[in-house]
Amino acid sequence: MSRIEKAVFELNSIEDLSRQNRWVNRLHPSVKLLLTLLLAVLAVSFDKYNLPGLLGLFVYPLFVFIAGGLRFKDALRRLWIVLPLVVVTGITNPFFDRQVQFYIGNFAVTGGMVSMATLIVKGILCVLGAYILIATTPIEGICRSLRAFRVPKTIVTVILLIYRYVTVLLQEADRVTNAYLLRAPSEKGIGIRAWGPLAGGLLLRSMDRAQVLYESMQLRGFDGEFPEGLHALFYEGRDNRRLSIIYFAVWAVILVLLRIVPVAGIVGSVFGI
Amino acid sequence: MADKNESCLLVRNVSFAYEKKYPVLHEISFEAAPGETVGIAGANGAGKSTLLKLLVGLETGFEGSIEICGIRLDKKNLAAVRRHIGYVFQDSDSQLFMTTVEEDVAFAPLNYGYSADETKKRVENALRSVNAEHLAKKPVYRLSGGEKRLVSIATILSLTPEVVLMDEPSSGLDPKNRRNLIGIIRDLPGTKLIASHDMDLLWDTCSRILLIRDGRIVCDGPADDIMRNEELLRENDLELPLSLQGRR
Ligand SMILES: Nc1ncnc2c1ncn2[C@@H]1O[C@H](COP(=O)(O)OP(=O)(O)OP(=O)(O)O)[C@@H](O)[C@H]1O
Ligand SMILES: [Mg+2]
Repeated sequence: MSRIEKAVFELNSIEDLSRQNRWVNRLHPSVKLLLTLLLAVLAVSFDKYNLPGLLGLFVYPLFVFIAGGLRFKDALRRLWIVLPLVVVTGITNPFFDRQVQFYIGNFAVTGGMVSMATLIVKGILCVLGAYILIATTPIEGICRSLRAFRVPKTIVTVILLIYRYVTVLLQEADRVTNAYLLRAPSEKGIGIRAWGPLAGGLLLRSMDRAQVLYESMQLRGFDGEFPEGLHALFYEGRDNRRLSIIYFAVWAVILVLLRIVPVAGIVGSVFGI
Repeated sequence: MADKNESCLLVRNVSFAYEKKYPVLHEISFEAAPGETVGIAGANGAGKSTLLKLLVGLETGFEGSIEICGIRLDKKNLAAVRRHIGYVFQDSDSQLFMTTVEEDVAFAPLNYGYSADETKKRVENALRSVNAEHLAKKPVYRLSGGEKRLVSIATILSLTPEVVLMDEPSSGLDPKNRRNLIGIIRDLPGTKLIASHDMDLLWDTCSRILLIRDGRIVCDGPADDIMRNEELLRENDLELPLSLQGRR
């Protein structure tokens, strides 16, 4: 498989995951969307030195991983690309904030190191939150919730089209690169001189296909609103309203408690550390 | 008008250009009766796809008038018109946008406000009529090209349109699927318009042929006459159906 084919394969696997028929998948999409937002907001709001407290928030993604039958290895592989970005955000902190906070053995840990770690962990939490959302919720469900929260039609439609379209774009790119490489067998990659025309052609062809996609939606009565119950139609149990509400309430309380109660400290003192 | 009830498709003096300087269709006029299967034959670039796109309102800004099931096509009543007419794209790869086959087929009926139970029934029927029940749960991205074609026909049929337009329905199909498709088209109720340069497909499915060349209708008549007229076909860069070539 080429790298592009691999990427398409990964995207399709995430879609497969979101279509499983576990109870987490059947929860109302809005509930999962809200919890992911809550997770992100709470994570960001933690003090920049409060690393132990922040770690407590991992219980939620952990729980969804287990309940949703997601695999850590797969997630790690898929999120590998974004992790460097997350790390870069805090990379300068250790240079500015050199005040020693505590020692591990002889090693002086400065405030900058702690705050860098905190930032990275916050980033990881946000990325994980997004991942567990799309890996347990079909994209149409997410879009329907966004509409329910009054996100404008145009934006929601664009999100859906981009999501649907990434694979088509990648496949198109795969075709173009293959066609190029077949006629330039001695080259390792695409020569810099061909980049312009290839990228331009790719863009134009992609736009054509996106147009067909959108027209086909319009022809079948799409006006920016996703029909209610499309997902529920073929899944037993439908959107499970009561379970969804309880799920949301329980997790919202747990997450907020983890934010305001210094759980890490309490656990520490119980064990006499 | 007396013939209003008799034809569900009425096209009068339609001219169209994508860019003003290059007209693509000139003064196209024809009508189709309920249940009639009309083939639109023409070489590459003749304007077949353009004509079909006009009929479903994907291209606007044409001159003349188009009437579908008694409704005059214009910008304001696109939704009403599209309730009666289905369009199968030339490129069925980009026509499907939901994740699983059944969801894609259910998309239109739900959008037009059918109940969940009714929608389910429609999905089953639509898939059955293209012999693709077994694909219902499959993710769209795992379908072969031929399967995608069948499914994209089903997505149209779930609304039970009175008029069905198909653009090159047989391209990319293997002989078995092509046979299957011909059977499906023959069994479809309603008015059908099939654009293709696959003369054998048209011969097998259509009772009447519109021959288009450079955006003009050069001939409109029974398939039997046009398909056997080798000279006429050759003039229009087309060939006799293979099944007729043996019996000259
Ligand atoms: N979006 C467009 N913009 C400008 N010109 C177009 C566009 N689409 C088609 N044309 C032109 O309109 C003419 C008719 O094209 P059309 O696609 O209708 O032909 P066709 O009969 O369907 O051909 P084919 O058998 O190759 O599908 C062609 O000359 C084409 O170049
Ligand atoms: Mg065409």
